[in-house]
Amino acid sequence: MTDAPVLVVTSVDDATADPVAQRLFERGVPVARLDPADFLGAEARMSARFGSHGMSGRIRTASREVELCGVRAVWWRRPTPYRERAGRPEPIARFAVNEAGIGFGGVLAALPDCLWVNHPWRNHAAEHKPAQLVTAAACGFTVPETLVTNEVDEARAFADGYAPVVYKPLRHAVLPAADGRAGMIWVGPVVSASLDDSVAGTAHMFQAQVDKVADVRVTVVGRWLFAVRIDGGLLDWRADYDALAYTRIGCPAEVEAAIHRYMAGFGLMFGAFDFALTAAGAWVFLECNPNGQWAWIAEQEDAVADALADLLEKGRI
Amino acid sequence: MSVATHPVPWGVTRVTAFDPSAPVDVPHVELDPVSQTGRYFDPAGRPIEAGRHGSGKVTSRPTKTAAPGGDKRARDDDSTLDYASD
Repeated sequence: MTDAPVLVVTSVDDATADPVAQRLFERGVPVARLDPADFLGAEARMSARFGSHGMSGRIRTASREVELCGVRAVWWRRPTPYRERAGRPEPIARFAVNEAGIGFGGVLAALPDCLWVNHPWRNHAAEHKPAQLVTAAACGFTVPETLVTNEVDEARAFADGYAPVVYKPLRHAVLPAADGRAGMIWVGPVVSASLDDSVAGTAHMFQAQVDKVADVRVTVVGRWLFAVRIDGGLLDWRADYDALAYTRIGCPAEVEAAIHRYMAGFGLMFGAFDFALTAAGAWVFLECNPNGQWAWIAEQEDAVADALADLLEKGRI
Repeated sequence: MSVATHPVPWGVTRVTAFDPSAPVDVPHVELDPVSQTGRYFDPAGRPIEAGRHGSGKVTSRPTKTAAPGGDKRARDDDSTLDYASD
């Protein structure tokens, strides 16, 4: 398998993929970078055959040809979503996009005998915060009291009963702000008086605010853990990166053990865990992004890139 | 409790606008056929030094958390919206 390539599935402008691809290149490990959205253009082609033997075929990009059954590892980073690019009208465009997702995406998801970092269907499952919270509790993490509801009475009772409470969307969202500019929703405090019947408008997630002294990000690559303490005094540290200070720290043995149980539970090789660190030293689970960013933290960038290159080169845990 | 009478979910009241002052650079990117890494070019077609370009998707990136010119890596600002999970 020494000539088997590592397939890096991502967009061309994914700068986080570059240092890992560069490392593999320098080590002489074959790398093929693919953005599956290119299958809907002229840039990439695929033919896959199926029968009693299983699957065979190949992918061609502008610069690589990859045998479907000869892939060492797949790094599923940030591929461009399938989109109609030929200007075809609906419902033709939707048909083409849906067929691409199940066809091209389905062939990629069926690649045999390779290491997945991570399999996209595992990512999909692990992105659901309710599943994260249930799995985290089962793995032994301390989990904040959390409510997902469309009932305003339940939301008010929760906000009063567990004050202070925060609201956080179940999924990253970009929405227009009141002034029409693009906006997003940070984690923010909630008082029951601010809640109204519009809670019925969709699912809303409320969580008891953890009395934290700092945040911790743990980036997991296979068996390797990279823990970084984040100091900045912010409820949601993503709101102001300029205010943050990062320090590499160790991970308590019981937290590390719980992380490995969690990773195994979701079948993940990579994960980015967020914890709130209390004054008493407890690590409280907030969430785990199965495809989180990591390279912006200079204190860990080289170490994580090295670990990813090691894992992908090895092609097994 | 009919949703029809409450078409805008409460969570939408929590939206904050991005910082409009933060620059969003949109470099041109090509794939290096040998190394399979991205090669970035400014609007004039000049190569941008590795690590000096804003990175990550710019399509829906919040400018407040975006990497302005000189920063080098996508921050933890996006989830499945910006990439295909399946």
